[in-house]
This record gives sequence, structure tokens and C-alpha cells, in this order.
Amino acid sequence: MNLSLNSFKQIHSIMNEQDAVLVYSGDFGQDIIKSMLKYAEEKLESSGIDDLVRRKIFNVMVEMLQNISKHQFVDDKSGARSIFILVEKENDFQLITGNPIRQNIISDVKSRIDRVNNMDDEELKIYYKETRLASRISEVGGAGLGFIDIARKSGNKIEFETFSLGSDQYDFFTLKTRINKNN
Amino acid sequence: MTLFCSELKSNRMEFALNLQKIMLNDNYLIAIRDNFENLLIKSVLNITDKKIQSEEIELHVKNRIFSVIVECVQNICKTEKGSDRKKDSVLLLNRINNGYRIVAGSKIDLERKKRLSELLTELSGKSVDKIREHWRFALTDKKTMDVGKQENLALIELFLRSHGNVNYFFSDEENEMSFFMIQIEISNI
Amino acid sequence: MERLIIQATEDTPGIDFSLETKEFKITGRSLPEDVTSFYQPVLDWLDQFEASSGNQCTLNISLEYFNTASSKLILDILMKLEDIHVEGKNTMKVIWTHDARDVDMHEAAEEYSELVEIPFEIIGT
Repeated sequence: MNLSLNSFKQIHSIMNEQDAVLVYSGDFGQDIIKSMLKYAEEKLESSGIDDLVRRKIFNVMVEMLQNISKHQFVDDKSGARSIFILVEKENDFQLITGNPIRQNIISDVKSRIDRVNNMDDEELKIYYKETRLASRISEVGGAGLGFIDIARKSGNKIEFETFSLGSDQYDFFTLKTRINKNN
Repeated sequence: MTLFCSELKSNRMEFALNLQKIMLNDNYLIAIRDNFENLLIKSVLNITDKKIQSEEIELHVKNRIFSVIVECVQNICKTEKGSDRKKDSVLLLNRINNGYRIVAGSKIDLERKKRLSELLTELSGKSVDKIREHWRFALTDKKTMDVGKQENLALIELFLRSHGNVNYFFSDEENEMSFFMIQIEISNI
Repeated sequence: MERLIIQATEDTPGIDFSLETKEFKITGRSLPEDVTSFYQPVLDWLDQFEASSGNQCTLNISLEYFNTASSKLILDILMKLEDIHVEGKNTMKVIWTHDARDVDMHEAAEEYSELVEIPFEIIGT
């Protein structure tokens, strides 16, 4: 046939290989975020996932999507687009985001994630309180709470990986959270 | 030294970058792969509805895209309830030069393949007037509404809305199943 | 006869059929999965209406969108009204309103108007 069949096949085969159920790439405005959340909600419900787990996934998804939304302005400059992928495996749901990010902030982001990954529940709770208090004073409202929140809610380590975009300013930053279907 | 235990061995998440590249290249807006049971149909339509609404296009073009997606989701992608819940259906939406493309795909059995094949052969290459005739006939015929008839109406609608811009493809799989893919293009004009 | 009112939802139309106002309104969007169960009460109501006489009623359709499953039911409703009209005890007419920019909807309304023998008006707003 033509080009479209090729990219369709590629997308389909990647989705199959990776067990992805929803892939969205483009602008992450409020409206589209709301309807993706609704989709996830219904999907979780029909998968028979229990209430508590559903809420966790929902909350983590909100954090991650809003995070992309906040940093979207970088998209146009980098030539890459933000992407959200929802993966359903047998035992867990995985939420993956990918977005272009300025190279000079990467190590800071990585160290923040590593920090929360190395904490247990109790430590996370304390760290959350501290950060919230600190952010009240600073102008960057809510900064840094995201990762702590995600770590606490998902109950699993946050995974990340960066890839080159062939640019000297931006890299592609991917983030994955896993939420177990059963507690 | 802090343990960078989160940085895994390479390529675990590279697919996200690859997907992004492909989708950017061909202007894909959204890709959904699922078993499209009743419950999900509503929210799938909701996402695509919202997405279309935000694009700056004419009302009648929006309605055409929406209608094609509805018919694809409700007829092509739909799997029988109770089938082994595999995510065998796909729906993709992307922007193309002067319009939009919707691709719907589903795993189907031999019987369905035969039926779809016949219907599509009937409709392909026909003028819009001829297709309208098909619509009139399908709508008014006294036969009870069954899956086949419903599929017929849906396919006719796809041809009408796109002014015949429909392409399809069957790819044979194991266990006498096929993967059916249908591509509909809606022009901006 | 009691008024038939069904609230519109994001995938089912609003129904307001009243013998008092002589107006039968169908508005909104129609894309239910299970069209039969949605439209059954409407058809049942029209069956009851058939037994009455001396009424001049208007079916007011103002649909933004309807799926192919609904298209069959819309025809069923129109044909029922046609029977009633032809029978002579009541007079029926149809007014189909649509967004003037929606050329497809205009086309669909025209098709329907050719399929039934009732006074049929199509208005683009």
C-alpha cells in the first residue's frame, strides 16, 4: 500500500510488543488530560482493579500528565514532542512519559528522583512535609513535590532514562512508574 | 557514592522515543489499542472528541471525523463480549496534508473476513450517488438488524463521509484469524 | 397521554414528546451502543399515540449527530409517523433543523424526507 500502512504497522507492533494500550502525543492541555484520565478510569474499572489501586494510578497519572503540561513549551524548540503511554501488563499498570528537556537541568532532575527512590515510606513522608514547607517560602510553587508524590503513591521506584535527540541543548527524558494491580 | 539504581540498562524505554518519532513524523494524534468493550467506547470517543474539537477545522469536517471514529469504534474495533479479552483492536488518528486520517484495525475470524470483504468490494470505487443508493437500500430493507447489516451501514457511512476515500487490508494470521485494517481519509475542504 | 421526557446525555438524545404542546422533540446526539433499548420507549409511546385522533403534531428533530445504529431507529420513528399520517386520524409533519454548516446533516435529512410521505421541512440555522 503506502506510507501510512508502514507507520501503522510500526505503531501497532510496538504497542503489541510493549503492551501499550494508550499512546498520546501532542499538546497536553487541560481538556485532553481530563479525557485521558477518564479513559484510564473506565479502563481500570472494567479491569476490576480495586478502588485503592485505581485512585493511586489516577493520582500518579494526574501528576505525570500535569508535569508534561508544565514543561511543554520546550517541545517546539527541540523538535521532539511529548508523549504519554499507558501500558497494561499482567500484574501492573505502567505509566510512561517522554518529553524533551533542557540538558542543563537533567542532572538536577535525576538526583531528585534518585533521592526519593532511596527513601522508604517514612522518609518520604517527612521529605514531603519539608519540601511543602519550603515551597511555601520559595516562588516556585509545588516544585519538587511531584516526584515525592509519585514515589509515595506508586509504591515503586521511579524509573528514568534519557536519550539523545542529536541536539546540543535538549535530550529526551523518559519516566516510568509502575503500579501493582494487587497490593 | 550514591547508587544510581534507577538508570536501567539501555533501551528499556527507548520505544517511547521511537513511538514519538513515528507519531511526529506522520502527525499521529492518538493511538489506542484495546478490546474496545462497551465501557471503553464512550471514553475513547470522549478523547478523540476533545482532540478534534481543539483543532481549528470546519464544523462539517469535524463531524465527519467524529462520525468515522464512532463507526470504527462501534463496529470495526468492537470485539465480542467475553472473547478472551485480548487487546486486538487498534484505532489511530493522524493529521495529513489537507485533512485527517483514521485507521482502525481488528483481529477477525474467517466468517467476518468474508462478510467484510464482500461488503467492501461492493462499495469500493463506486460514486457517491451509488453509495447513497446502497445506504437507502440497506436502511429500508426489511431484514432484521443483525451484525452484518449493522456493519454494512457502518461501512457505507465511512464511504459517504470520506467521499470514497477508503482503503483496506486483510493480513492473514494463525488459527484462521486475520487482521483487518481500514483507513479512511477526510479532507479539510 | 403522559408526556415522554428523557434527559439528554453525552451519547443519547433528549426526548420530549407532548400531546399537549403537539410537539415531539428529539435533540442532541444519538450514539448509544444499544439503540433498541434506548428508543423502545419512544416507539411504545408512538404506538399509544396512534390510538388517539384529531391531533396535528410536529416532530422536531434537531440532532447534532447520530450514529448508523440510530439511523435505522430514526427511520422507524418516521415510518411510524407516516403510518399515522396516512391513516388520517391525525396529521403529522416533520421539521428537521441542523447547523447550516453541516452539509452532511442536510443531505441526510433530505434522504429521509424522500423516504417518507409526510410534510417535511429542513431548516439550516
